[in-house]
Amino acid sequence: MAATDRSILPGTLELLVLRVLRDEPSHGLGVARALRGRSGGVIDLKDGALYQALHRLENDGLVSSDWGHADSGKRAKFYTLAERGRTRLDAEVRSWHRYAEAVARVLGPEFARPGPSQAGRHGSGDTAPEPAS
Amino acid sequence: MSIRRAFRLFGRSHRSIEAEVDEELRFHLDGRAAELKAGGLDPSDARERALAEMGDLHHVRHSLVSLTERRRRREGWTMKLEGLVQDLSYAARTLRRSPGYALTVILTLTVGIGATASVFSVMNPFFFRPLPFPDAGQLIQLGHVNREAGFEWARFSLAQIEDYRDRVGSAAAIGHYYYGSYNLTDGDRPERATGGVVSTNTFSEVLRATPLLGRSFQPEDAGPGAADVVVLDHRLWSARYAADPSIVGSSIRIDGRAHEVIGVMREEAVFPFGGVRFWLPDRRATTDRGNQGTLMIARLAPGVDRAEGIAEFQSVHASLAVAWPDVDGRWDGLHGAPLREALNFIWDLLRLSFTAFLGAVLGVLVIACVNVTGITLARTQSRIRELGVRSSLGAGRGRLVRQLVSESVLLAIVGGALGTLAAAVLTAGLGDILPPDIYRVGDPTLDVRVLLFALAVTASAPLLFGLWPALAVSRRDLASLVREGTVRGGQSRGSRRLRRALVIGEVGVGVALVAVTGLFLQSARAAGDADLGFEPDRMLIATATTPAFDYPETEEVGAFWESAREAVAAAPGVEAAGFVYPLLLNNELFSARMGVPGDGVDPTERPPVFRLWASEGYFEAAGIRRIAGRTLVASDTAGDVSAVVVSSGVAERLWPGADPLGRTIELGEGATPYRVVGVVADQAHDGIDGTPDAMVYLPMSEFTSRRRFMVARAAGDPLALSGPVREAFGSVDPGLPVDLQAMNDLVFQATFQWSAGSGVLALFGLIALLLASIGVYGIVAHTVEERRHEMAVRMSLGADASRVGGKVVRDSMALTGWGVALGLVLAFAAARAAEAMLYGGAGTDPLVLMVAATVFVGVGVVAAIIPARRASRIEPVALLRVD
Repeated sequence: MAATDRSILPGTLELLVLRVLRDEPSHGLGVARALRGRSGGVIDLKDGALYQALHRLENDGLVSSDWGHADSGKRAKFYTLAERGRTRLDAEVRSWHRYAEAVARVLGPEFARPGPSQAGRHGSGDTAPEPAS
Repeated sequence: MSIRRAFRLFGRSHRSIEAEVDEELRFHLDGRAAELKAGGLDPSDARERALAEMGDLHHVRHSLVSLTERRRRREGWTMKLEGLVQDLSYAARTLRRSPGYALTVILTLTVGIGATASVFSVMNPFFFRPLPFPDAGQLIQLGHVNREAGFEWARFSLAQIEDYRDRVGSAAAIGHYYYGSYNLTDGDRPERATGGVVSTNTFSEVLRATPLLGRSFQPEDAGPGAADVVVLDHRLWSARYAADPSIVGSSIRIDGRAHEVIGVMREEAVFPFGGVRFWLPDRRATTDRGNQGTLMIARLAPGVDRAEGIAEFQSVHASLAVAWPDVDGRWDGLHGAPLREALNFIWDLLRLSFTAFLGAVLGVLVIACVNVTGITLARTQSRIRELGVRSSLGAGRGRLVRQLVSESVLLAIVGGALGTLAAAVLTAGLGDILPPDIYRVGDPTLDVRVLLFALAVTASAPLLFGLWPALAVSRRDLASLVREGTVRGGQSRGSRRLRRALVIGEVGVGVALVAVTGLFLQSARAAGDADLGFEPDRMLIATATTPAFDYPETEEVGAFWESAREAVAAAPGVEAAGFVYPLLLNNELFSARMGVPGDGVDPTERPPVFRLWASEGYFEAAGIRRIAGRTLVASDTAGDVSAVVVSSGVAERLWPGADPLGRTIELGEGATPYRVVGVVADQAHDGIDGTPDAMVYLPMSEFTSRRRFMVARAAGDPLALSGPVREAFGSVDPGLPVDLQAMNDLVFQATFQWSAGSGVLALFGLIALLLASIGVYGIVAHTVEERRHEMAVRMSLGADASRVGGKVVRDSMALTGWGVALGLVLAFAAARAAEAMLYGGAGTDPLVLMVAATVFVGVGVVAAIIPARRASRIEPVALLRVD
């Protein structure tokens, strides 16, 4: 993995999408906007990949979709977190924190940085600090 | 959401999925470009950037389309399943609002399916289930024919069977057997059991039945000096010997002699009938051609046609008849039939019964279908209005059809389940009452194919007629129907005519079934009460065959039987004793041509009469009614001319109006003269059919065969004499096997044909009455219900309520009356068809017909009165507003 690579880790895209949809139902454009904004532009992904992820999640029954009207008045496809998606999100977040913590322990204190890696200690997995959007 | 999804279900095409994906992507690209533009990019750069951020648009679009397709396909199935559950639960709710309809349909389906499937299932082991022997189509049984007596299964002597073995080339193997009853005395449970005595090739070569344990017989088992061996039937092995496999090689006691068990047959190897519990090898070495007491079976060689094989046996018989005119030549010919048919000694009767059951079942099934059709029609007819309203409110046509169909499906499911249950219970119940001695393959078990057939037939009625209004809905402009109010009165003329036809047909079939049932019950009762001409209740029969080795001469045989008679007559509890051949009702019939001297008729052209031989004491022991003169005594052969006792039928025929005593009768083709010393009542001999048979009794001293029947008369229960009678025989010859049975067993077998079917048919008659009543009530009540509107109009125009009601009731009576008329015609035809099964022949029972007619007319009246009264109590104006 090149140090400068800003592409997303495999498997985390779905986690992030579920997380975004947890706040409110949204169309794909909204999800993309949230991902860009919340990651401070660090996470860079193709919008096509995002849509593929959304459709896969829908096929897996983790999100559901329905056509509605965007603020602009245009017809847009809205995605809503399904109950199964909510459960999955909780599980994924927990496992993500365990992973991140494990990585941090391997790196050791000399590479430690204040920030997200400590959050797992608090136990409730979905309270990762968010940068202001 | 779900509505839209449901909408998508139907014909959402590939193209529209692409359009949907395009719309989603376009929204994104437009939106993103607008964002970027707002961030300061110029429009074309913004557009470019948005596209670049998307990645390979073509690839994305393709992948989204295929993901969506996959989802749709899966959703389709779930939706359909969900829809079905939804439809069914909706149907359940609707049906709960009309429990009468639902219950009638369910009850009708239950009875219809239960009755049909159980009758077929019970008959299956007798007619359809294949014999448990390989290539069973080649198995036949042969019998000597006595055409005058109408007898086809007369037995053979071993000498005759040997001749067939030598001469019939098309038979792969010829076997023989007889059966008798024996005492099993090993252990502390003495038991009487029927055993088969079979030629040693019966299992190995003829039936080709392999044993479950050990072996079956080999030729050595019948050889001189061979040990006594026995092969056990599966049931005896299980019941008496606890299915102990180590029984093979041990010994059991049969009639006091130790027999080594050499094998156990498989459960399905029933031969020659279900009551046989073990088999012994036939070790007789008699050469007496006249001792014809053995049955002959054969396996035809592979490829030999059954008719051809039987024909060869017949041609061998023809040549034997020339060689032995006094023995083989006495028979009219040879009869052969498939083994299943031959072993089933009530085959013809059973086939008739089956036909009758089938008729009854079909009748019930017709009524069931008419019921379901009628009430479904009535119900859906009145629902066209509701459907019209719903349709005009925008319910899709497909939706309405699905709803109607799902109601029918629900009813079919519930009715089918209950019908299956009923069939299982009925099959088990009917199976228990069947006599075990009638040849069958296995036990009656529920036949799945028949069950499916019955399900299909009965369940299709509600399906068809549930669908009908839905189709009507789709054909017509319902909104206009509703507007015009034409549906209100259920005025569809076609439907009304159909319903009237259904009522008439249903009443007709119902009356016919009940009437025929009545005939059968009456016939069974009459057969039970029939005057047999003798008194079987107190008769014990002891059958014995004096072996030729111990009693080589006819005089010795006669002396043995005379001594036995004296010993039995002297036994405690015996009121009278005498012996006879053949035994009444034992299916052994001998006849002789009879005439009077100088009647000018050639002796070979004279009419036949049943001929029996009886000893002193026999008439008293059998309780045969004496009309004139005396019965036979031991000294009756002394003098030039033997004495004869004739029955009243003979006396009336030969000497009408004159005293027969002292007159001469000529018997046989040799016109042997006999002097009539006594007249007795006619007796049932060739079956119990309502007409006792005319017969002549010759002195026993003229009889030469070794097998005879001792009749002992008891003061009470004849079986109480078993011990003393056996001891009496033992005192004369301790080694002679004696078979005992109550005469009533034979009478029961002879009347079984009249009693067996009638019980089952009575059940069907009752079911038919019940179902038809339900159906008639349902249809008539519904029709009257529909006429409430018309009645209200008439009453509001000043017609008297009772007159309006009266007309409705009269209409209903006319309808059921037509049905009764049809029923009488059908009943007459059915009684004719069932004639052969009825004791005393066909007839019509006016009482039964009247009861059936009254019931149906009554049901019609009640079905009309109740809604009519309800209608006449309501204010006409209120009624007009209804609907």
